[in-house]
Amino acid sequence: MNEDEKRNREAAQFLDNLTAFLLDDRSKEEILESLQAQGVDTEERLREFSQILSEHAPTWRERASRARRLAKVEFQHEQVKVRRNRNEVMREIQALVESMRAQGFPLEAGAFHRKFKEATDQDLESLLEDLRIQRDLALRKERDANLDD
Amino acid sequence: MIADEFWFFAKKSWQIPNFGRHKRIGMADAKDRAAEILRGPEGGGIYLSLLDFAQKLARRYGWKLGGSLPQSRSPDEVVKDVVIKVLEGNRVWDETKEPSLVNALKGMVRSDLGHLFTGYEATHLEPIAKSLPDGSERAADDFPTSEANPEQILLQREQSGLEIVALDMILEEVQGNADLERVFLELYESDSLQEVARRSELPMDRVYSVRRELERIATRITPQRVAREARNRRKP
Repeated sequence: MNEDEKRNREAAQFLDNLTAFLLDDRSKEEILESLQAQGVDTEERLREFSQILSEHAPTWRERASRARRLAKVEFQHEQVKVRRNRNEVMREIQALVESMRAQGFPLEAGAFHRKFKEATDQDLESLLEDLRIQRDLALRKERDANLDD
Repeated sequence: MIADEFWFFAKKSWQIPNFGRHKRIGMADAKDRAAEILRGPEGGGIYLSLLDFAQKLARRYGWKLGGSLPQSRSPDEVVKDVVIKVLEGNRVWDETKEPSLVNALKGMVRSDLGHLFTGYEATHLEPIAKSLPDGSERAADDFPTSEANPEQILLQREQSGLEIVALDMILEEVQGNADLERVFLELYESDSLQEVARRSELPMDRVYSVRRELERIATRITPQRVAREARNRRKP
């Protein structure tokens, strides 16, 4: 081994020893002080650690709380969906009523559609169903009448 | 009849082959046990000591290679990845081989940092297969098997040069303080706090405060500063 190689090896050994020495048997205070000196935000890192635990190793309490949050979000989503469906049903009823009126068909269920706001979703669905039946009957009658002529 | 059914179910639950059951339960146990410790009163301290360990190890690699962690990774990210993998069971803490979770996690951090820096070294080496200026093709056979190729030799020379520069820079900061100098000299022979205290014949509390001072010095001597200094020294 030449002189350069010897020096290199000694330097590497010294730096290894220094690193191990700086890590040996350290108190919490020393670790905190050292991290802060290296510019590490220890509070932020500890918050991050709590987040890691909560996401990757949740307790049953955290799991339950997450499930509750998820259920709440899903419920809100469902409500929006129901409201949207209700609006769609109402629009369909209005379109059907207008088309039947235009064709001069009798509207026996017409009275109901004025109380949309009071009607339940189920009421609206059955009103729509009734109107469809009335329209189909009226169309059939009209077709039969045309055939007779 | 009831007894027969009970026997059937009891037997069914034990029909899983023993090896598979133990392996599965073992992995789940290790994961849960690690989570239990990390959630406990020592958890935060363990995480911070891992961060500190990763910072110092990355600096040590940096002194060797003259830069920070490759692939834009930070020591904090390496620690975070290791902890997540252990909590999810993607890396297993074998308590029978290493009873201390901190030591097991440190081993994993060391291994990941090592791989990152080894990868960095590999990407900084010129490929063996190369077209030479004379038109011939260089292949692995062109290098003697027992010796490093010219690029490896050059890289090794530059890297060992960096470590000498880092050592010199530390020495410059230590000179003039008798206790620091004593501990510095002992670090050629030992890496343990107790051993250095014994050899230097300094009281233990003095060794702790000298270590704090050495820590501040080491923090100031960043790998980037070392690389700059090495470049300046190479200039004619």
